[in-house]
Amino acid sequence: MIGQRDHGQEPWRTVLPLLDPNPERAGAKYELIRSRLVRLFELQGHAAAADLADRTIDRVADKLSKGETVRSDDVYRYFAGVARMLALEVTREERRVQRAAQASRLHDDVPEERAAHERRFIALDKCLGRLTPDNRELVLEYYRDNVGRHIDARKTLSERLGLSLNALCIRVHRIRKQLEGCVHMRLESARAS
Amino acid sequence: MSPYDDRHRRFLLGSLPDAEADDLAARLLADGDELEAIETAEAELIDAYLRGELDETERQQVGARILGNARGRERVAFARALLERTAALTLDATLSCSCGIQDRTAS
Repeated sequence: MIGQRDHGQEPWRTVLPLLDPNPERAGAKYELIRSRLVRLFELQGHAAAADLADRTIDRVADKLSKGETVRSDDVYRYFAGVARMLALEVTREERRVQRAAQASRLHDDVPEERAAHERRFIALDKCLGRLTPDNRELVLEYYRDNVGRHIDARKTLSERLGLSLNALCIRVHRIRKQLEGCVHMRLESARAS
Repeated sequence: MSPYDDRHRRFLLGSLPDAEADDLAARLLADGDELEAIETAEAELIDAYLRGELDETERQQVGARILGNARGRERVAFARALLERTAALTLDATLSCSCGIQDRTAS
C-alpha cells in the first residue's frame, strides 16, 4: 500500500520505474520522497504541505506520461524543481489567506492566548521532568539566557563536552524535538478531554 | 551540512537563488541528515527571531514563511515557552547564587 491515494491511475505508473526498477524498492522510495516533500513544503511555510506534496508527484507523473525524460541521477533535483514551481504558483494565494487570518487574529481573545501560553508552560515543565537528568541539564545549559553571547557560551559548552559545535547543536535539537512532541501531545490530549 | 550553514538560513527565509534552492531541496529529499540539519537551522532561526537578533527584512520573511501557518506558529509558541522557561531558571540560579554570596558575606 502506497500512501493514502489512488495509485491505480495511469500517470502514477510512470513514476515508480523512475524511482527504482524494483517495484518494492520504488514503493519505499516513493514513501520517503513524499514524506520529505511534505517537510520541504512545511519548512517553506506552506499550510497545505501534504496536498502540495501529492500535487508535486502528480505533476511529475503527468510530465513523464507526456514523454519527458529524467536522468536517474537527477531524480531528486527534478522533484525539487517541480516542487519549487508549484510553490511559486500557490504562494500568492496562501499569502492572501494568511493576511486575512492575521487580521482576524488581531481580535483574538488576549486572556485566552495567555491561558494557552500558561498551559504550554505547564506541559513543558512536565516534559522537561521526563527527560533524563543529563539531557535536561544539557537543554537548560544550551538555552541558558546568555544575552548577546550565547554563541560563545555554546562554544564553551561544546568544548567542555568534547563535541563540535555542530554535533552539540544537532544533539540538542534531537532533545528539543522530543520535548516539542511531548508538549504537543499533552496539549492535544488536554484539548480532547 | 551544518545548522550554522548560511544556505540553510537563506533557504528558510526564501532568499536563496533558484538553482541553489533546487540543489538544497534535492539533497533534502535524498538525505535524512540534510533534513535534520535544516530542521535544526529552522529552530535556531526561530530562536533568533524571538531574541530580536534578526534585521527588519529577515523578521518580515520569518513573519511570512514561519508565522504564516499553524505549524510555524506552534513551533514559535513552543520556542517562546522554552526560552522563557530557561531564562527563568537562569534567573533563579543567579538569585540563589547571589543569595549564597550574601549569606556567606553575612556570616
